[in-house]
Amino acid sequence: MFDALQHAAHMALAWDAVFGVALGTVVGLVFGAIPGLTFSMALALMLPVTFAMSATAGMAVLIGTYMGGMTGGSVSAILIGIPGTPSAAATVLDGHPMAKQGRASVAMGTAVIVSCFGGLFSLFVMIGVAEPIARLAIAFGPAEIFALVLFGLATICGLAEKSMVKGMVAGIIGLMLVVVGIDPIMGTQRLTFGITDLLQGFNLVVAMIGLFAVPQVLTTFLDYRRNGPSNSIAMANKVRAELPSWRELASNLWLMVRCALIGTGIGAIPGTGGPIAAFLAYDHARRFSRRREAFGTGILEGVVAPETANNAVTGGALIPLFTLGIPGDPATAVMLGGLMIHGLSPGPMLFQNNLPEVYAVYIAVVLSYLLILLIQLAGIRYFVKVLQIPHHYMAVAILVMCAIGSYAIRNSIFDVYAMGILGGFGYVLLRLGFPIPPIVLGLVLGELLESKYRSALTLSAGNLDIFYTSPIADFFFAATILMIGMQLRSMIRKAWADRRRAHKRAAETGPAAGRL
Amino acid sequence: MRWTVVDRWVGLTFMALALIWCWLVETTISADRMEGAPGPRAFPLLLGEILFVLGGAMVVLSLIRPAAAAPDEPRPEPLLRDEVALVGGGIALLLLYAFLMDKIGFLLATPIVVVLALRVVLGLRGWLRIAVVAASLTIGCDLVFGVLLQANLPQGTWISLQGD
Repeated sequence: MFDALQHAAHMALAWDAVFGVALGTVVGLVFGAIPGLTFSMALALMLPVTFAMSATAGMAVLIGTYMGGMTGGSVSAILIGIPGTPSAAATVLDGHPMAKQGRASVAMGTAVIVSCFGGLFSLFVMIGVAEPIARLAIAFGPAEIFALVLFGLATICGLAEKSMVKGMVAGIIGLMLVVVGIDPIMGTQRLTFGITDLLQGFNLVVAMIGLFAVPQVLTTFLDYRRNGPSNSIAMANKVRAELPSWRELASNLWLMVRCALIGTGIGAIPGTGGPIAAFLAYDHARRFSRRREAFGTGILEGVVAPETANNAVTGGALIPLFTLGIPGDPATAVMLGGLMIHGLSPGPMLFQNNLPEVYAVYIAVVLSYLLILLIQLAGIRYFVKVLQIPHHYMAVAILVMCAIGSYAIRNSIFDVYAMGILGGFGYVLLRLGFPIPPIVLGLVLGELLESKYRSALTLSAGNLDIFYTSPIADFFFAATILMIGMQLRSMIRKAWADRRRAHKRAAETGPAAGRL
Repeated sequence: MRWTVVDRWVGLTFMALALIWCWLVETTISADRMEGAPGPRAFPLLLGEILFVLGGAMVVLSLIRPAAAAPDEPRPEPLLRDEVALVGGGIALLLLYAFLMDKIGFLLATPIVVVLALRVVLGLRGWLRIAVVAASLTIGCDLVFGVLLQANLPQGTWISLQGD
């Protein structure tokens, strides 16, 4: 083993491999940070670049791109409130309010540090217990994944802010948007009305750009027309370039460990991924926080939880990829392609035949995270300068970038129209008091929810027992019921408290007050 | 107007939309099933039914919740004419941008839309400043996305400055 490690270090620290990691990390960070350019796209773009490289250098490029892309999404999520990747959607909830309070650099610094912690934590978990985790992950059939996704959807209760019903309506809207297009199981057209562009359905990233960015652009326009540029300048003056204190980070260490475990576990299950892990971790953090009510207003835990979890997914996703040869998402599918092109066949034999290469990949992951830390921490003081651009100009630039990003996903003008219409719809919903994150959660989980439910029933020939006889599925069903139950309990308590307060007030001020 | 009143109307709207959705699902999606598993119609239909129930729940909650239950609750901001005009204008501008990108390409559509956004939507004065912002945004985005990141930018079907 020591020989293999020595050989791996020699390969991974060769100049071409180090250059490969650096190149991949920078490309990943840029693609991750720009809404509309996904890191799966960056991986596909970088794959041909690796053809002429050695196996280690080629894998180093892909690893750097993957890790950089997953981390980069938080930059735009925090600075402009538009997640660069779907995995960063949960980071917007507290990260952007922190930027509005003039704490953008603290949020970004925290996001980078906890991302590296999550990524490295999951790597060490992978090194230590890859085999048993892979065996457990493979036990997740359609019924188990359906139960897990249902559990993920139950986090809507936590994202619902003031009204659980409105949160659920928003979640259903997200699920409805997913339904449009080709049916995932039978290939039937659904609600396409003969429009060819609708066959491909609504793209998640396009919907996310529309729902998060467009309402914000419109609000900035309105604010400028009503109040002039004064507010924007006042905001810009609050921008400071400071990092989170050690105390702030240390006080969240236990939360980071828990969220890293959530991320690694979710990442190991094929077909899931960063967005689910990030939302689950966010909900977990909110649920067990003493400052539960402050979530969504710009608190550090709201950044720590999703960012730790979504990067922990990277190590988790490498577990089934390396041990079983199963890619969990498009990004790891490209990585699988890269491994095979360079003569490495993922699966149980990989660890026997190519142990030094596997160790070299581990070293590349560590190198990549060190580079991310270096680049992003050094870059924060420059990134926050974005906030000093007057907001009305920034809004126009965002509008242009939203259109470019939406188009770039599938080279489709339909997506730009869809983004605009969904953005207008998002604005109306926000004005009516509906939260946006549940719509995104519905969009993320919708297809998986339906396809796994139907696949499970196809496997069992329509017998619902498939859902009840699996202990893993039972566990997640019970957790879902518990989560909804807890939320209902706190809602009822709040309603009773409001009612009691109203009666007390009515008794104090006379009968007229009760009729207000 | 209180949130309860707004919610009542919104709930009723969602109930109506859910009914339309269910009707569309019933009339346009095939009812085929596959080996005992639900077909392509089941899930969308279920979603429509849930939306109907949730819309109903919003109406019921708005009726049973006394107005005095949360006297400190902020009232919804009234919808003013300038907001309707500006939001409508903003969305129309985005849709116009999509149309123009399709017809005359990114390089011509972007400056037109930026000028419209700054001059018409935001009401900015000073043509020189507007022209500088429009030109730098167009050139900057083309360099970053088109040249550096090799992303495909729309080329016009009527006029195209980008070439192949």
